[in-house]
Amino acid sequence: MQAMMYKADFMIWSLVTVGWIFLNLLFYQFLYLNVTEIAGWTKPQLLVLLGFYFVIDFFLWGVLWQNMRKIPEIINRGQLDLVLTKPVNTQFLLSFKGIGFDDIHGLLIGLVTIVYALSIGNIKPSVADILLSTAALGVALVYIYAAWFITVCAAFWFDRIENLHLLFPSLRQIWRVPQPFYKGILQKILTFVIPATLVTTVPAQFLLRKPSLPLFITLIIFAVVSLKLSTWVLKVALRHYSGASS
Amino acid sequence: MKDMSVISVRHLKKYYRVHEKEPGLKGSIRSLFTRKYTQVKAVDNIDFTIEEGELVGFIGPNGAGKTTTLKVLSGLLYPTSGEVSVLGFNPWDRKAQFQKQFALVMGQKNQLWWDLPPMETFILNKEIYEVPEDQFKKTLDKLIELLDVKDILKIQVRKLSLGQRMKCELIAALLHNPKVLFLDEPTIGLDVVMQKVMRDFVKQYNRQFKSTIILTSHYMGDVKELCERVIIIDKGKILFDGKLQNVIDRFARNKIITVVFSRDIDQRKLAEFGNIREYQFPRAKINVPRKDVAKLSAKLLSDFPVADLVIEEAPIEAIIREVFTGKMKQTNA
Repeated sequence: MQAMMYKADFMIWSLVTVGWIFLNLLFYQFLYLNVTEIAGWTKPQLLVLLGFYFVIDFFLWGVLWQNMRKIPEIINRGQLDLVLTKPVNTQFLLSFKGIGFDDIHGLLIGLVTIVYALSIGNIKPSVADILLSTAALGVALVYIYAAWFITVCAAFWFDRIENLHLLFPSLRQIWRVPQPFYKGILQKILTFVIPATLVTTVPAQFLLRKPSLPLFITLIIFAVVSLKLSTWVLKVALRHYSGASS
Repeated sequence: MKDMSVISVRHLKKYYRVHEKEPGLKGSIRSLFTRKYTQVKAVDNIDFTIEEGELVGFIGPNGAGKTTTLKVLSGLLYPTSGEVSVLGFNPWDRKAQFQKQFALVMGQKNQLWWDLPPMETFILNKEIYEVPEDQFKKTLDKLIELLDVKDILKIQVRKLSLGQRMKCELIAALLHNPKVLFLDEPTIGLDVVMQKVMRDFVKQYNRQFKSTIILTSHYMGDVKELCERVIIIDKGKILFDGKLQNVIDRFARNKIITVVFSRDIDQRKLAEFGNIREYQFPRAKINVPRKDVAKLSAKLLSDFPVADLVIEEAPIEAIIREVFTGKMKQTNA
């Protein structure tokens, strides 16, 4: 709603989002001109994953980003004071105060990409596959939200960190390709330490009918733990909070 | 354990840790590795209670601890030690039930959505505080009328003047009919006309809704007009808690005698009476010790050709300034 108050800004952002998506698609087209399969993933399969990448991007930029970006600012400028007096969950208000649908076309393109990829690959997921895939996406989003929130909470301890809110989304380049693309120790780290590769891989795997239960469980554990940890971190942070001087 | 007061504060302390940095690049680099911390006693062992319906003024210079106290009472800051109870709650627990019964308005911070008209914030607050529709309408209409803001409700907040914005801030804070209201510098930056509007509103609100109000302000005018009781706070400690009138009795050492002479007089002779604040024939202002006022004015009348004589209290601003600077001298010594 706030974004729509600025028409030009809204239009330009829309263009940027759509342009970005097409560049990504183009890149994969070129990649698969030379090979038919990478680490066991065919082009349609990779496009399904890319579809999830777009959907998650919508969630990142359209829903979360504008809130996360404001958290350090709210803390440093002492505006948290007014947030804290409100009879609602502070974490909720900080995280979802401004929900925009500015990037809604990103979500639509993501879904279209998935459907298109499934049809060219002649992949027919069952209803259960779709439900499981959606659930896995939900879990992935919970993890992303909680992990992002925790990193942003560092602003409570450090007076000023520019671009703190961009620390977490910089990981998104990692989940632009499926987990098997990474090898060795790197794969282990990106699965079991920072499970960034899982957020697109697990939902895609369900749709592609090659699910991996261990990966799904890993993702669930990370989501639950991160969510718990995020409320705990906020609680500790608030005790530490001294407010910006008025 | 808890008494019946709306607000009760016992042995409250709030200390901050701040780091010191030497000036310059060298200092910056050094502070990356070893930081020297010092403790700031923002609030240092204060006690007070406030009853229902009271309108109390907090006065003190910058950094005295006024805002910190309000923030502790609002549950924003975790006290270093001491007991605080507001409406029977411990503010730090930040229970929704408590938060629905108070409001904090800060003159230097805004809760209004900057890019949207004020009405959007009002509606958001209605949802947050779960105010029933009919009550919301009734309260809003009343506040709009009292503050005369009907025409600006649909204008983007960023385009409003400071005064208009402050009015809307107040409305946003009062929509849920808080029983306790903390006003932190509500008139800061406002012109005299708007200051008056704000004061009248606060006074009326206090009377009409029987709400308990704590007000901090740099403007003595606010306090003089609104608060019967004041709490003077400096360097985290309470210097005085009582009726505003008693501040004068307790701290004012002098009274001011203004004399109008019918003929020019010898200033040196006049100086024997007290400290001459100004002399421009035919008028002179003299500071005289309070206890000698009657004796000295009688002597003035007999020794000089006096056309008129007025005895006044020193202005409250001056008295309070004296309280603060006097205190500073004591602590420096």
